[in-house]
Amino acid sequence: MLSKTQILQAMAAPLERRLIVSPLLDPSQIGDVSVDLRLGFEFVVVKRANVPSVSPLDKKEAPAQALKSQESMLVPRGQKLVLHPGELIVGTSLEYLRLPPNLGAYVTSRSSWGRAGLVIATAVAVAPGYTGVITLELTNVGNAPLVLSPGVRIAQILFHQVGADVTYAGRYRCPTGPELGRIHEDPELPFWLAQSSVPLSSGPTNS
Amino acid sequence: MPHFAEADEVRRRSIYLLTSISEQLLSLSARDYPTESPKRFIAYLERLVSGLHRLLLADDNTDTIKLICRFVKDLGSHVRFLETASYPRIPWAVIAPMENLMTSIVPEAEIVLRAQWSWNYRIRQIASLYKEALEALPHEYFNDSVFAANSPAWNVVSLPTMDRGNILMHVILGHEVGHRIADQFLSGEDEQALQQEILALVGDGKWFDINIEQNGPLFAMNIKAALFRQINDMRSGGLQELISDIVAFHLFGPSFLFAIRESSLDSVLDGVPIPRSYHPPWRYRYRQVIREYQRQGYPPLLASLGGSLILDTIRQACLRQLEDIVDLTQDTTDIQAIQGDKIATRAYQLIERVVPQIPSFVESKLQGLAFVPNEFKVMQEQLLSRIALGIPPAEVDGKVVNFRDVILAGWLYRISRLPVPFSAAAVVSVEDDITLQRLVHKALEYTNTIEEYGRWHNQEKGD
Repeated sequence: MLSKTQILQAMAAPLERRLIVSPLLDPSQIGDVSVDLRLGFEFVVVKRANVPSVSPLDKKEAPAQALKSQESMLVPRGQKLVLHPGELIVGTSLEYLRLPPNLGAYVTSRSSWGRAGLVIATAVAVAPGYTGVITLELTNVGNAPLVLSPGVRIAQILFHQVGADVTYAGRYRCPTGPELGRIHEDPELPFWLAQSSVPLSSGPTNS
Repeated sequence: MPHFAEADEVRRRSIYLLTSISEQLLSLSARDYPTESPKRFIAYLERLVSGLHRLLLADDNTDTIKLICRFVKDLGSHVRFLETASYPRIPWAVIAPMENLMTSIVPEAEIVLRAQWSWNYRIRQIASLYKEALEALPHEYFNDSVFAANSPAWNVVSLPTMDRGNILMHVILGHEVGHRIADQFLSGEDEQALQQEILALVGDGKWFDINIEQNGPLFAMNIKAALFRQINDMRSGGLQELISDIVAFHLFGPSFLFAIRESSLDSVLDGVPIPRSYHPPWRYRYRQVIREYQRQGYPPLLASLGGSLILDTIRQACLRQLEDIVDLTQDTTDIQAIQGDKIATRAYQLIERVVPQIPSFVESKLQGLAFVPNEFKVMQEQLLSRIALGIPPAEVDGKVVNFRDVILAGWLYRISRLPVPFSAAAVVSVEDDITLQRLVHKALEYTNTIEEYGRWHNQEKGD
């Protein structure tokens, strides 16, 4: 795990290998071993819709189902976002990050929010070379509605060295806002969704 | 059996329509808007609706009630302006800086920015439209809206929905607000002198029709009046566009030149001005803007960019594009087309006399608001390097930059047709354009946030 000194060194490296967290509104966001991330302004809210089910694996139906069951929302500075118990809202960090090829990262809740019942990320690992905002899957696992506001420090990101430089090969190209999942783009899916063509009886037989 | 009470029926119908507008305004007030401006416009419309309602109940004059009913139908169609001013119908981060810039230029104006389905940028003066329509009605019902002493001059500015994500193109909004400065120029002209000039150009009208006097003096007078009107309209329509172009160039620099070139790629360059809009030929417009580009010293600034493969490629591509536009303006086929039209020839004689005055007039009106390319080389090189890495071009050495510098960096990168993020092996596609637009939009969000946070932070420290 990188210390504050190492994080600052990574942020001062030549541009191509620099750790970028932009905008870093306040230097106090850099803690002893982490950087505080703020909540961004745009959200995708899952709403009740006449969709019988959501099939993220269905390449044909998934995008339309998502559009029908999700709604984009802007919460400008000074306004509030209420997260009800059990509700899922997809948001992002206010900050845009670029990890150099030798650093990976983990995103975690800030403990004060965790104690209030907020889970901020279910996809916590950030690959080396990733460039974009960090998606935050916000869930309220408490019993009372939680009031959130853009700009509040909601998560922290911890960095670590990787053994060798890694070139980012993920699906997300410089995301700037909450994006829909792309599980249906997984290249292995056609295999796993197709029925086996090998008859069950064609296994090895004793001769 | 009672007679059909027409006034009561029209009154009932008008009240029904007003109720419908009120419901729609209530529903629209619950939407997310990027600034407070649309909500203030909703409140303004609600006051107007309330005034109309009160007047309908108080007035028994059938003509007045019919006039109100017709106005209410028009008013109802304006609710659509708000529908497309809300998130996510518009590129929200570009709205606040554009709105601020526009209201700085025309301080008495209030602006609602919205998307429209047709591909066009447009500015509508809504408040003056309402004032004109309601002039004949008792003003006391509208003293808190249209006829209030400090009533804001509401303008609805539209951008095309199809291009809403194309942030770079929205510098054309500078042209739209430029129309208000063009209005000031035209209203400040010596009308009598202009009238004499046009009358002299109309003359006996034989240049238009050699047989003008054959059908009697009344017919000849009608023809000459029509010629007067057309020359005057073509002149003022042409100047409206040319002045607005110069305003936009002063506000956005080369970004505006790139934007009008891209937006007119599918247009005829030498089209003779036609009635209603009377837009000058595109080539003629490019010529005026290119003159400003050269006069304001941009060519050496752009030539100073470089020092890496990416920056050298960008410099070469941008200079090549601008030289191509210069080449286009050296061709005079637009002027030949104008000279081939008897009315346009005369209107453009008058325009040519005014054109040299436009830059100094615009400068005097935009004091302190014009785009100044401070530290051009250092700033643009850093912003372009960020784009090449796939990072929003919002900061230079940790300091926030003006939103117009951000947009210029976006244009310079775009003209070079390099992939985003840069990769020597990648093939450029529309996806790169989309990514670039998103990064520029994100940078605008950041410049707003950094600036506001910095202001708050300094205040806190001061306290």
